[in-house]
Amino acid sequence: MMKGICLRYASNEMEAEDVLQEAFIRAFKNLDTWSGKGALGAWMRMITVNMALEQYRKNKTQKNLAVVYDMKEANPLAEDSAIEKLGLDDLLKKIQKLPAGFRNVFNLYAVEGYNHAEIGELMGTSEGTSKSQYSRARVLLRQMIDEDVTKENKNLNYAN
Amino acid sequence: MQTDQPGSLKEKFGGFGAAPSDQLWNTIDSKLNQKERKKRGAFWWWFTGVAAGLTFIFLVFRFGYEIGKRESQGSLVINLDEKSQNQQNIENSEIISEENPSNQTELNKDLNKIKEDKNEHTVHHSESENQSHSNQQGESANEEKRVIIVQPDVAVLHQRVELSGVSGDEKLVLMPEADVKKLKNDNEVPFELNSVAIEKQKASGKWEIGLNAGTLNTINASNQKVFTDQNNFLATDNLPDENTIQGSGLESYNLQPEFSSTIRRPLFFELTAQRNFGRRWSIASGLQFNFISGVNNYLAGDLQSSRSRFFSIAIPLAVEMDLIKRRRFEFNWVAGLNYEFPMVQHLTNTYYNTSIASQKSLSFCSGYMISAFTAPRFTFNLNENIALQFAPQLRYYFHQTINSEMPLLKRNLWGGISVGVKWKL
Repeated sequence: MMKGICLRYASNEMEAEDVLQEAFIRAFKNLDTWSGKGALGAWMRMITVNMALEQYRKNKTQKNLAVVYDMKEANPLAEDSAIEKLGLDDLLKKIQKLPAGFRNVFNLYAVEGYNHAEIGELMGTSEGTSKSQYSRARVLLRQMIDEDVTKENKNLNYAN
Repeated sequence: MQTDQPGSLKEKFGGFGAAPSDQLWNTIDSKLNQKERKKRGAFWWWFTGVAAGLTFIFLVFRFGYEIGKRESQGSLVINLDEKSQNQQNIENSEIISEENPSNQTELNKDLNKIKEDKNEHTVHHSESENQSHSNQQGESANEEKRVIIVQPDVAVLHQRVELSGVSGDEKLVLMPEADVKKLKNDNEVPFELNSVAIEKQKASGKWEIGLNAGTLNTINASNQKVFTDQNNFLATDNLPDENTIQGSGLESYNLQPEFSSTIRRPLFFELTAQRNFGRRWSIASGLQFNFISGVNNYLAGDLQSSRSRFFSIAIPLAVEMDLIKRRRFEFNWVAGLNYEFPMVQHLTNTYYNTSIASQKSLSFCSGYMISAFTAPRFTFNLNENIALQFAPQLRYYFHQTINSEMPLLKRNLWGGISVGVKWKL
């Protein structure tokens, strides 16, 4: 489960394992602080997410917004709901391709269930930024779905 | 399907998991031990630094105190061989000091009687030593002596005064190592007061207070490679490790530069106390306030720029060697260590999106930085007490534990300049 979380917040498996490693180390070191009342899984999950965000914050100036996207021109054909319809592996791969900031906001909102105000607090940004980034993340995911569809169509044409 | 509800994909990823590799467990195991060691290592670095600093400061003050004590106990003593004086004269000898210029006339009167060969004069460097020596001489040769005590500054000053054309009628003042100087008239002070003032700077055990301001710029060679000539943007290849944008999708979109980044230390202030030892060496310490400014400009996403202002406080420990000393000009070489502790970081994020206001945050930082520095220093003496100084400086940070969002903060080689004023106490 912990590695699954890390994979969502990282751009590749190697980075995910780095976060996982730090999360385990932190969990082991702070095991005595776990009250024992809640589920251990939830506690570990919280540590993992926090560690992923911490790694992001640490490298924010280097990693954040590393890819140039012209969002004004973005007008993907894929429907918004296409994201939810994607297979798990496919969706994970696309999430990993998102810029780190967008990826974190998308994970925190769509998967973890935080609202934008909470995300703003966690990420050290405003609620507006969280909304904006989430919206852009969805546009980018839809663009990727478009690209997949175009590739598939090309392959079909070649096959025919 | 709904798309804008928190946790809309929670269920989908609910049971998603993957097994960590075996290697990971081994790494975690070793890291758990290593982190303990690292923590201890960091503590010892910190502890050693602070202990060394305190010891250094203690020694400076202790050594300074000893020298001051010695000076107050005994000044340089000059024996002037003269007839018809006795031991009582020695005890009641006249003391000529620069603090009491009125005694100069007395000195001149005494010196007017000197007509003997300079080779008979002896110089000793402590009052007690001198007195016992004088006693022996007085007893053995039945000679009467007059002891004139002058400040060591003055004595040192005239070490190189050459003896020439001394006639029996001229007034003379005996200087250390049997040098003699002619006096032009009764009113002439036998010491060149201005020179004495300058010479005073060289004297051991003197304190100096300095106030300097300066600026530093990073001069890492790799820094120059990173920035392209045209627009100062970071090139995406040939980046040093600290700037490598790993796993951010850069690999597939690396046609354009992502952001530019600059860092400077536009201003530092330092207040120093300096203690002289011997004629050429001095030790200095004090307090330094550093201001560091970093700017990152982005070309993508919401964030337009991120400006960091960083304040730190440092304790410099330096040794200074005087290479050239003239009346109006000095050239010294300074080298030392700087223990720098971060204070606060002020971050301002500006966004492309005009609906998002700039965000500011203030945070306290932990960690420390140790740097070695060296500087040739040019000093211009305005008068006997005040001097202006100017020093190009090279600073190398060899140990830094600060966690900052400034990507270039950990540049280790910096160059700059400082100007300031020095008071000689």
